[in-house]
Amino acid sequence: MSSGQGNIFKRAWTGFGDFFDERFEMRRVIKEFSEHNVPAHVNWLYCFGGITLLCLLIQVLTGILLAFYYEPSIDTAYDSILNIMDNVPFGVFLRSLHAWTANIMILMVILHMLRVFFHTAYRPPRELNWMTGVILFFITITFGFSGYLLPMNQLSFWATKVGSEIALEMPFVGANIHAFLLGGEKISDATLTRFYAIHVVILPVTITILLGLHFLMVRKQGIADPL
Amino acid sequence: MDETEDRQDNTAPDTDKPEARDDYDSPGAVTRRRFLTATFAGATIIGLGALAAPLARYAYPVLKPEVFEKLPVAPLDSLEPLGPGVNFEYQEIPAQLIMLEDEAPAAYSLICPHLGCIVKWVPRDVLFECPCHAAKFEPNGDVAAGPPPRPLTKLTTTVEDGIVFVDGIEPEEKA
Repeated sequence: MSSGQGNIFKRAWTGFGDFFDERFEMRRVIKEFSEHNVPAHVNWLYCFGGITLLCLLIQVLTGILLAFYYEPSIDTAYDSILNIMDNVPFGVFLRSLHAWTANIMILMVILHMLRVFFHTAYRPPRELNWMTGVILFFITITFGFSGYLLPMNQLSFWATKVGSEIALEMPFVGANIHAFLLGGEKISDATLTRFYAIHVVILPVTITILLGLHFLMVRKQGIADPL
Repeated sequence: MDETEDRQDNTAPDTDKPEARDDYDSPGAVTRRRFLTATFAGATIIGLGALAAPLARYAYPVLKPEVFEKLPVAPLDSLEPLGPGVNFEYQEIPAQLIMLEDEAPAAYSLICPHLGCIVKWVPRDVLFECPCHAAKFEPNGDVAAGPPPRPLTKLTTTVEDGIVFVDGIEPEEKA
């Protein structure tokens, strides 16, 4: 007790760390991550993937909070959005953050792809990671498409109509895909709940799994050599 | 980890102990790396904290003040002192309008203040009676028998053109 307050806190903190370190070797893992070397040629162009991940984390956080107040049915969806915008504290901020980050995320994905493409970083042994990345690109686009309907305003409605009728033009299976997307022949409550389930359950789970693979492959194969 | 050991670590140049340079656990040594790590971690925690406050504010529900409707219940001359009265519903609360001995109308929420069962006005006994735990209430709402911690909740009444209106719920009396 003679060693003073600062030491008590320090000891408590160290003891806390020791507890987890003994059980999970956390310090070794943290050290490995924080001291991981990247090649010397890496520059700012290599940040787009990381910024995309940051965007995704923001989308998850703001999306969960928007789901607190959003009501997915034709009668209530638009009003619940107005409620978020007009009555809920910081609602304007969170919804705008979600919408802006959605756009920025797609931009960042495209820049990330262009970087990888022009650096020919998709070549063997990294083909599978490129393919995973392309699927992740389409998942991000689908996030945007499904999220666009949720406010249920004029823009949402007509955008979904146009988008789903593109599927209708496909030979043979077009009508089936169209019906499957909309949960019927036209945009209805069934469409909205369907898009909501896709937007907040199916896509987040899928993107988490594929991102895990994406990161594991980068970790295993390292960053590609310069041109 | 006594103080002499700390001082040794502080004063010992890194060149004497090359492994100390990478040793995150060496007690008390404020290396440049540790200083920068602490600064960065502190700034991050403050930043995240500043973000967490509005998020918590967002998630906390916004409560609107309750709006009371003005509900016509019955003509005053249809009531008789301590008679059967009128059973009705006010803003989703089951309620009872009766006439007291002095011919003044009185309305109550029928939700028992004990555990929320619905009490019944029994003119024969001149009491409100609860089916769950045998609580009884006087015509003025006071507890006559049983476990309830407070009287029945009163609804405010007004009489206009011979019609009894209910236009509010009196706040619960503090026990």
